[in-house]
Amino acid sequence: MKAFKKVSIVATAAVLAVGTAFSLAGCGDDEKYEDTDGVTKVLMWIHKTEEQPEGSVYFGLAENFNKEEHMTADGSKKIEVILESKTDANTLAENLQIAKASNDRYPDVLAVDAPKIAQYVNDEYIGDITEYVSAAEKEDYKDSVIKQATIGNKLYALSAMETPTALFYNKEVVTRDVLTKAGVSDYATVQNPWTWDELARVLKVIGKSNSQQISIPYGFGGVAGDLYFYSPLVYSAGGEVFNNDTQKMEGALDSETSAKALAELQKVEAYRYKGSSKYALATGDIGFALHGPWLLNDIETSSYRDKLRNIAAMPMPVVTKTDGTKGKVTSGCGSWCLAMSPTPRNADAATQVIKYFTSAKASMEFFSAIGTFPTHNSCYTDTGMNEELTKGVYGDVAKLMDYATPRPTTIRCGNIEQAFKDIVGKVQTSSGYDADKFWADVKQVVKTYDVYN
Amino acid sequence: MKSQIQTAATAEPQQQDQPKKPKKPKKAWFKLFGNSYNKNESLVGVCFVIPACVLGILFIFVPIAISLAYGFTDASFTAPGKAQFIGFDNFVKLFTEDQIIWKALGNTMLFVVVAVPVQLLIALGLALILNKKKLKCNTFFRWAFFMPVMLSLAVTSFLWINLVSYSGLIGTALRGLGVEIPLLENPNTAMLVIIFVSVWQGAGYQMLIFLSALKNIEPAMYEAAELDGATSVQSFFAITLPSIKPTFSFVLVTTLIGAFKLITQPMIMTKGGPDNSTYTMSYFIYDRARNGGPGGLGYSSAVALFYTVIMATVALLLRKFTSGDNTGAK
Amino acid sequence: MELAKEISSETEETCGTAQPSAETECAKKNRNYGKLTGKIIGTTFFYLFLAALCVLFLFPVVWMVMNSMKTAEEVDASINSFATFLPSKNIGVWFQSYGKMFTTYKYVPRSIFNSFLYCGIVILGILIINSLAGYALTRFRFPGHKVLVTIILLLLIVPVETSVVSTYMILNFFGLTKGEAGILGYLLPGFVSPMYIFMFRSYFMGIPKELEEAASIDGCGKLKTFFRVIMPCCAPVFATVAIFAFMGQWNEYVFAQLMFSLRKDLMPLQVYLQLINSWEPSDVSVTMAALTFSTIPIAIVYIFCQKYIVEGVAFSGLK
Repeated sequence: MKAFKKVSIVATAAVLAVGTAFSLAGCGDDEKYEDTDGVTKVLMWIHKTEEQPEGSVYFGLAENFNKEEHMTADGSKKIEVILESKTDANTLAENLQIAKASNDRYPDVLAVDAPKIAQYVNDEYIGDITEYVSAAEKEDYKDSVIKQATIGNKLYALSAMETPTALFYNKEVVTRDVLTKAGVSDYATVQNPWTWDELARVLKVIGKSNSQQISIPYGFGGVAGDLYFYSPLVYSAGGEVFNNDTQKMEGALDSETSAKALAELQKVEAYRYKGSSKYALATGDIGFALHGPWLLNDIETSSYRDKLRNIAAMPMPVVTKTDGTKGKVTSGCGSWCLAMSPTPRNADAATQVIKYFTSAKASMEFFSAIGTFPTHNSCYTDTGMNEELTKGVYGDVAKLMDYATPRPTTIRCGNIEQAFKDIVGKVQTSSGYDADKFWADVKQVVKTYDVYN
Repeated sequence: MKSQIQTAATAEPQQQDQPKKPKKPKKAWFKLFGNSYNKNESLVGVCFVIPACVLGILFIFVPIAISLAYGFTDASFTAPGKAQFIGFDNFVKLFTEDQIIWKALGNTMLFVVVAVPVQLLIALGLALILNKKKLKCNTFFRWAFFMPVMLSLAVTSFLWINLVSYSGLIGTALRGLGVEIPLLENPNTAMLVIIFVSVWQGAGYQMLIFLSALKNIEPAMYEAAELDGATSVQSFFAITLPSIKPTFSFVLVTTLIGAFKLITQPMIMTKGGPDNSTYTMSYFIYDRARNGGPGGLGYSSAVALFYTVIMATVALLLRKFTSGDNTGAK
Repeated sequence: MELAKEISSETEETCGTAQPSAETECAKKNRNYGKLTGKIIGTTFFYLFLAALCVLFLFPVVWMVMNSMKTAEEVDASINSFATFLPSKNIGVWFQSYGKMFTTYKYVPRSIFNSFLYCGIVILGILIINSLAGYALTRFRFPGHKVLVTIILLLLIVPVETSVVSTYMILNFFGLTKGEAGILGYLLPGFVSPMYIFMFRSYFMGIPKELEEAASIDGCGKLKTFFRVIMPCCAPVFATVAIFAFMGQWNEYVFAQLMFSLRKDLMPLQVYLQLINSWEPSDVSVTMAALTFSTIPIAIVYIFCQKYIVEGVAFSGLK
């Protein structure tokens, strides 16, 4: 018993000693975040790693920012940005949650996905940056970028990446001959877009040898992807996805306009490509692909890059509204943004960092790395290096950015996304076009998810 | 003296048999809640379990208690600190308005009812086969059947997606045979695929446990039965099954609990599946927390609490029915 | 061989007797040969069946390994033919993906070391803490021991998806989340597990008390008894728990990702591999190489410890 007591005492002491040693060892870390004489530090968290293309752009920008020695507005301090990678979106969210609840250093600048901005504002994860962005600066950003981050006239985030959606096609497969056979006058343009019926007719013609001719990215980008890709259809018909007043989808998404707008997807379901190759459009296996700008980047960085010249883009088909008229041209939009903490150490420094990382120059770098389109109007003028964006398939897509329809800014975005996922799931399990049945299905889905709103 | 202490658990404590002395020597026993405990023994016992208890409380009990307590609040995942107590509101919503939860529950039950027996039977069958002494390459087969267990669930899901998808190996083979069903995209077949993959992955593990239980049965019993003229089928039912019954019930309960918690395969392979056909309760709980917007975490915790009660009931009922005659199996 | 002996001894018997029997000798021999053929056919089918099962259980793993031994284009090209189960025709390409994995991703060796280190520490902790608890619940009577047993059973059931962040907050309170201290913080929650306490307890209940009585007569205190006598005697269950703990810890990555998101040099293998997988453009053969590589250590451990697992579980008194 005595020996036992001795042993237990020694053991407890040892454990305590080791534990204390470890915790003390960890203490030194926080000092690197503290401001020093003449230097104010801005801590920035992103959701990509250094090795990823997007992440490497961020880290490159951080290095350049520090080298360029930016000063605060009053000229007193140098701004230094400390960039930390939080691996992926989930880990970033968890880390933010932990930092907020404990006394860990909360980042001054953080990456946030566009649909989540409203939720972050509500939970005080990000703060108002309106007064730090001048009117001129705001002017240069694309409308969609400003709109997606504005809640109640206050601006909360800026983005360097815009993601317009378009209907890409392979010119060698969808020839003028095909169009004539399908009874379609010309390739679609923003002035003269196609309807889904016209698209279906063209698909039928080229589908004679291989029926799977259009790739539609259901399930792309996790839960958020379906809302992103297919809400423009609802907006095309003039419908709404969410009723801000009642904070429910009822009355908006389950209205006849909205539901039947989404039903148009059924018209092309029979021709949908079910394989998994990212390059099917480039190789000509399929004729059409509904997608965002990543498609072009994928092709360009693969061994099929010489086939890129065969690819062109037209606006997504417009919806035929319930009264028979054509809907408007719309395009998806919204990607990751940078926002500021509600209590930054130095708001001026933080917003300067945000503006730098979402500047025209940064935007172009993201474009080169991952294909997302620059978010500044100044990038789309005919000068030298930006010529790329005014010609060819890039030019086609760039034009669509003016028709972008941002997703609703609501704290209940998660439920809307899940409802959309279920709704497009219904498209996939349907056989043929039945607008009324689809409307009933949509009403059912909306009812199920409104429970959580 | 020591053996007396160990075996005198239910005996009356020995009173001092000396006449009253001015100083009362320390009693070696104390009473608590009607049971008598030996001080010495208790102290040592408590010391032995203290590390496990402390760690258990800190890292198992408290986090679980916290998450379950959220069930009575309207906490959201991103701002749990701003939670307000709302009593049973979440539970009312759960029972009266929520429709997806029953689908998820149904899916999970389907999985449990199909996958668990199938997996156990296959495991038992394989164990019986491997138990035959005359089998050649016994070790190789044992290793082969256990191979899938060594892969992590994520790896398994990833592999099988690639195989079963429309353009994957099996998908193409099926199309070649004229079967046009995209396995993972058809609401009727998606869950079957997940069941198959789960059984494939787990059978080897249970097989090993059964194998060792089988090896424990004395061959003498079989010889005696043979002498009595029993056929192999008869001796299977009369000797084998009863002998492995305790093992079987243990394996049944643990596999059952694992099946109730199914989340990785649906998350990676079908993301809840075509038309929510592979949406399981654990996945539902996860989704409600992370994507549920305001009040999501609270609601998710309420569902988790509800689900825990269901699982606990099933597990306890099962234990009652299968090991009622075993005193030591606790 | 045995079959043949059986048959020949039978025929010997019948042929040896002079008694006429209802069946002619010829007919009997035919019947015996028929039995022999029947048994051969039966055995063949049996082995074929087993082989088919083996293929079913092994082919995805083989597929994974083979695909790691090809270039990415070859993988795409051969995916729908039988060639998908064969490594690249070009032997030089076989280990190219592995080479790529090691050279492009600098922390692979370090993360392997980390994984082994973490597993080692966790195993040590698990073996000591849980066995002590299991033993105490078997042998000692102290207030609350019955309640404890019930609690342990219940804890096996509760879903733990939502408690990762709470666990982190508790660790944070003790300052065990930064830098190297994070290692301790990461491993600490893993030290206690209801499942293992349960296993130890069941096993110990099957050990006769005479052992401890002998030890105490020799003058050992309870603790000494435990370490000197019980542990060596119960090696099988310790080995089993060690192996299960290793397998569980090796594949763990949810919590690791949260704890080590900033320190690539502290990440275990699984987290680092996830990281590699998330980098675009993804080279499928490197992915397969990474997956194969992460399974090899477990496979090796298992091969060497097969015996113990079977033995250990046998006696764990799941009775």
